[in-house]
Amino acid sequence: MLDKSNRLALTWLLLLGSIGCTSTHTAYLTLPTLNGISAYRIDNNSGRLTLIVGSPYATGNSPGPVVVDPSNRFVWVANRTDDTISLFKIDSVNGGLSEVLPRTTTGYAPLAMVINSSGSFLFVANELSSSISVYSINSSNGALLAVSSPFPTPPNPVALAVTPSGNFLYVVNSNLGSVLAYSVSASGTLQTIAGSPFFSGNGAAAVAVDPKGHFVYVVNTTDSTVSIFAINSATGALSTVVGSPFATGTAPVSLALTPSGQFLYVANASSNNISGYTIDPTTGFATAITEGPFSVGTAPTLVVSDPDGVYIYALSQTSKTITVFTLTTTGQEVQGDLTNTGYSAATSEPVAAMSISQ
Amino acid sequence: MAAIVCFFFLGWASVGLEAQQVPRFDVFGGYSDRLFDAKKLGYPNYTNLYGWNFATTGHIFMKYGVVVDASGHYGSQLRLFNYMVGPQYTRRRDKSDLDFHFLFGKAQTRANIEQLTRSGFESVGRSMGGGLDFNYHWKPRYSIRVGADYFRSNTFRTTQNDARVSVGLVLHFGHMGHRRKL
Repeated sequence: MLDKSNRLALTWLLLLGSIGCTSTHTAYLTLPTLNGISAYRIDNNSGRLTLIVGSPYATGNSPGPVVVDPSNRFVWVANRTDDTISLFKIDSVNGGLSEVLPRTTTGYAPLAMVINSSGSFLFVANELSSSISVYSINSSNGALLAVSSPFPTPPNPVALAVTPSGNFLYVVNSNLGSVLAYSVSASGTLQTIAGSPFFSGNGAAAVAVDPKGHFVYVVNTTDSTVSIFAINSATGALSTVVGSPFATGTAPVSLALTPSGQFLYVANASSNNISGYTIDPTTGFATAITEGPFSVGTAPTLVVSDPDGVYIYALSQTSKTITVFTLTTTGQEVQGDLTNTGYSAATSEPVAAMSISQ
Repeated sequence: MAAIVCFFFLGWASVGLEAQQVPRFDVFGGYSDRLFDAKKLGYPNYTNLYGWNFATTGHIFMKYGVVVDASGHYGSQLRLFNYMVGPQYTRRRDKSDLDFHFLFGKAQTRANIEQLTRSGFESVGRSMGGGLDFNYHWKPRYSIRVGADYFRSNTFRTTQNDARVSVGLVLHFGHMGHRRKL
């Protein structure tokens, strides 16, 4: 048995240990006008973001797309006017970044990046050189090695997404308003899938694959729609789901899926709101959430889901803010409607992209 | 090391103070633990930092004086220094004292996060706080002190709310009167 003094000491230790122990994620935001990347700590209990000391960290010129590796050890940033990729090591204590040189050369104007779920390949869409660069990732130090020379695409690839299996890559081409589909070999080489490209809509701008690998989602900015395709799990070919395309707000530019794949959110830049949809897991049919669209202030340009599916972050380049929404829950069941938490974080400069660690 | 040698030299120099006397000056040195509000700097949790605390008190009146306080705390990445001054009220008893003080001054925070062109980040800002010390009169010229303080500091454009606990030895010098008999 513990005597009184020992109990007191134990109570003190427990009190000290319990103060502020919360589970967190880190978010990385690129700031092209500042040539930097800011790191934020996300409090999972409130969704609040706290700037990590040292932010912003220097990048190359005009940083755009940013990805975090699945093991949360590295971050890669594409420098759009340098035509390079910066590799950063994530500090395991506070989530801060330190760049590892040299930078890796890409094609012209790397506009989008995605990493496969195993963290073995990084895919880069080079808008001006109209190509896809594929890099194998050294798992120990994060270094990139080009799998081969870049794979040519039709002009202006602007976005890409990879299936959870890593077997298929989908690239949005805004000029064609289409999705280019590729199979990915074990060595990282790309092979065009029969039937590609698949028409999406005018002004196709952003793409996502659902976490189960069943559907591909594309927002069409000019048409103000979102197209949904079913993925043939054997071939990777796409087929339009019944009812697609679905109406959005005006000028959709970004989309995010919750980790369950149950809810889809689309940022509408001109109507200043977020459209929400419930996705039928079998058919892919999107039903607009009746409480939506959700007002978000000035011109949302990015919408991002947190890895736990509790919060949705909407970023505005013009107001330089991040608005935090939470998904409503009834008992244990998550509803798709969004509630503005009333909390927003200001960014020092407009944000080009945001990625959240697992 | 020099500070420790100096501290014990001062202990030797303080010989001659008798029991029941109220000293003119106190010099404190000891070990300190700080619960630092690292969450404000983007760390996942509060962080315990360990280090030293030195303080000198000049007793202007029997119960009132001025304290000058410096402390340094260290962790794997973080280093904190405080340089503070403020008024102190002392409640005296036969075998012990209780000091209450307010402190104002500077906080210097350093985060050692290795970068390509620098070894870390540093910020200096205002700090204020206060706390109390319990002094047990172990010997006529020595006391044992346990102190606790709260600090509110502004560094890295954020406000941190910290707690500090210090334990150590107090050396007494000079005398300005006799303490009240209980």
